[in-house]
Amino acid sequence: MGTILPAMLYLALLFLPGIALARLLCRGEQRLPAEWWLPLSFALGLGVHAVACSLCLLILGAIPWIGIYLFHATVAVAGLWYSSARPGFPTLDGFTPLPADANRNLLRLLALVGIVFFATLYHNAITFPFTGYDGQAIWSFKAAILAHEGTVYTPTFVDPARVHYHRNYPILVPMVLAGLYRAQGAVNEPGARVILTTFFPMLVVAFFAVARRLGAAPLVAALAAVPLFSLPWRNDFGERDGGVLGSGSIDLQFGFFAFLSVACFMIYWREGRRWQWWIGAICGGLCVMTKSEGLLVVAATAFANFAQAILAPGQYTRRAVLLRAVAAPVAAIAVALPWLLVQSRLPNFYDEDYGGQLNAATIAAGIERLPVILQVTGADAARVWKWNYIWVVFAALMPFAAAGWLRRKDFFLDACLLPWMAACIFVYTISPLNLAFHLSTSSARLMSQMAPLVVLRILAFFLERLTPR
Amino acid sequence: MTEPVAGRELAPIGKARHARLALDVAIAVLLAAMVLSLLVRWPVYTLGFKLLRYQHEALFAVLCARLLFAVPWQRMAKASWREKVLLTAGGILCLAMLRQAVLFSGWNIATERTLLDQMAFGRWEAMEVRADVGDGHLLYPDPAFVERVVAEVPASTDSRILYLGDQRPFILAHQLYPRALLAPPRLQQLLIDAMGGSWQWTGIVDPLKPEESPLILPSDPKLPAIVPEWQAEVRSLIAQKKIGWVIYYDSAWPDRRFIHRIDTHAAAPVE
Repeated sequence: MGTILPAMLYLALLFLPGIALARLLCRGEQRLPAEWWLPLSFALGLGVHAVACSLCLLILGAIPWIGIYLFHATVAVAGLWYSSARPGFPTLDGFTPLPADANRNLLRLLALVGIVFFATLYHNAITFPFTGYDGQAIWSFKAAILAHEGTVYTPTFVDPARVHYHRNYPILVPMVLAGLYRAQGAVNEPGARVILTTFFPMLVVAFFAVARRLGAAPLVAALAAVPLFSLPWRNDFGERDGGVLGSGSIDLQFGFFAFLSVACFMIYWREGRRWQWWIGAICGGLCVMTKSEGLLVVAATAFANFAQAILAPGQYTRRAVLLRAVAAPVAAIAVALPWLLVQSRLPNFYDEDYGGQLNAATIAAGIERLPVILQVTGADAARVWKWNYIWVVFAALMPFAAAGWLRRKDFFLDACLLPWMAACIFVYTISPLNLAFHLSTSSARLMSQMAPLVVLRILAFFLERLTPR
Repeated sequence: MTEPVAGRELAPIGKARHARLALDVAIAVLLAAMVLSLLVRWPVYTLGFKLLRYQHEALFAVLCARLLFAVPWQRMAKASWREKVLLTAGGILCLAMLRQAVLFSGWNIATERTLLDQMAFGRWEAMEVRADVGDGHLLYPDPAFVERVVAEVPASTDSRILYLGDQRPFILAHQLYPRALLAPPRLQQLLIDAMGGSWQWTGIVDPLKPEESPLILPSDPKLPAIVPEWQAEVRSLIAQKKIGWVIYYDSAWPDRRFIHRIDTHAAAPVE
């Protein structure tokens, strides 16, 4: 319990400012059911922590950890007091009650399956050590340095002689783990893995909430979430190490922020609630702070927002929606700006310097790689035992979905996912790394980041055609 | 005049409701069996993996049967042919995905190492770490070896560890921070390059006499011929007391691994 209890208390410390912010952002909603406030609070709580740490690194050059903990408490108390003292803020409720129909017991059983599954993941996370390269060499190591030295401006962090690579890689996750390590005064790896694992239940709950919002019946939303349950094993490191989420790869954690960002923008264009736009933008910023691929998510959502604003502005004037489409990536970058400024002061690492590879010769040479890239990623995506049928069905549905584009309906997710995939393939073509090595170590991880959105796309395809708006 | 009936008359229980209830109970029983398998892995240990597979198939079959009761048949009957096609396709897809998820996730869960395994075999040994060389993946030293290194290197040391091995050093770097630091990887790379990229150390290190290891002794006659730059750098670092330990790891030959302390020439054979 010396490892798990502190992690749970620390999670509560992260959740509290998140709950306060979720209430403040969702002003105008009558009530906020648990399937919404749980993932939103988690994401926003981590965001408060990461932005506060980045600001400290930017302004003070170091993280005053006591100040950070006090800041969390202050945001939580002030936010909850403000939203309780004034009307118009949503009440925090339990999960939306199950319908009193014949499927009630089946839903309860499915919920039980989910709970057993989550319990297994937590057990796995607590008992298995970090084994993956990312877990060992990047995330937990950086967290240990941040906790011990309180800054990134230290030889341990930037000196390549200290066997520390990826020096300017985004560090949202290490900053979160470092808060736990520092509070305990020691590296608490099992506790860190409990935090990493918590992203997955939050992702599943968020998926359920978004599916319900799109009009899916509770049983349909629950069944649509089923393919997500093998996601923790759909990862190179998870497969090899048996470490699943606890192995330390953070692609599913990144996938959680990406899912919230894209899905909230998607429902924003259907419902037009301001909080959905804000969550989409904030989670885009958190994607940037979590992994380099976050920039792709912001770019892809920006593209999809523009497409939506131009082709299907709905009841709004085109000028108003264009303004919001422009403001979305600006808001996302503003959230990540403190980190981006800190990052700009850190030494680059050149093995993944894709921007530096952008010249005509590299691009021309990369075209020859395209058949290999498509063959390898396509063959991986078609492995049903690994990815279930999600990629096969997604590919099969695309021609039918294209008909929907022409009717200017139901294209937001496609406008987001397809450019994102294209960008990933483009990066492979210009990558300075050995192509076989690069594909074998990253393609499954990139696919696992997108997988929840692909499942949502498949669900939306059927709902769009079966549910009258 | 009819007699007043005490209490409320029970609603008639139809066959469908009975069947639904029976299937719900069956699902609950199968789930309980899966949880039991998860805890003690009795099917795996006693009856083999085939039973585990049947258990998952049975769960899927019962779920399918139960889902038939959840299908909105009345809506299906009234739906247009296009909606019927979509609902049917969606239903089949849902069942196919459910089957994959039950088999894949259930299999992975059930074949995970359990709490009992870990109590019996220890934390690291319960985890299968692949130490096979040359498959193109990122590889790490055996975690048991890492734990041994962490235990052997004193907490107060500020001298660096020169890691020589055929597996990547990141786990060591992480586990040893902030107590000790690895020597610059450049040194390791120099040594690898000098050996033609090979990790065959036979003839360079005598694991049975690590105190006479030619890798670290400045008077060693072999070094100048093998890796002059490396030798000069190592000698310089030893003189500055910047290398305090040498760790040698060979994944193929566990008996050749050692942890060597330079200042006292006291070596600790690992296996």
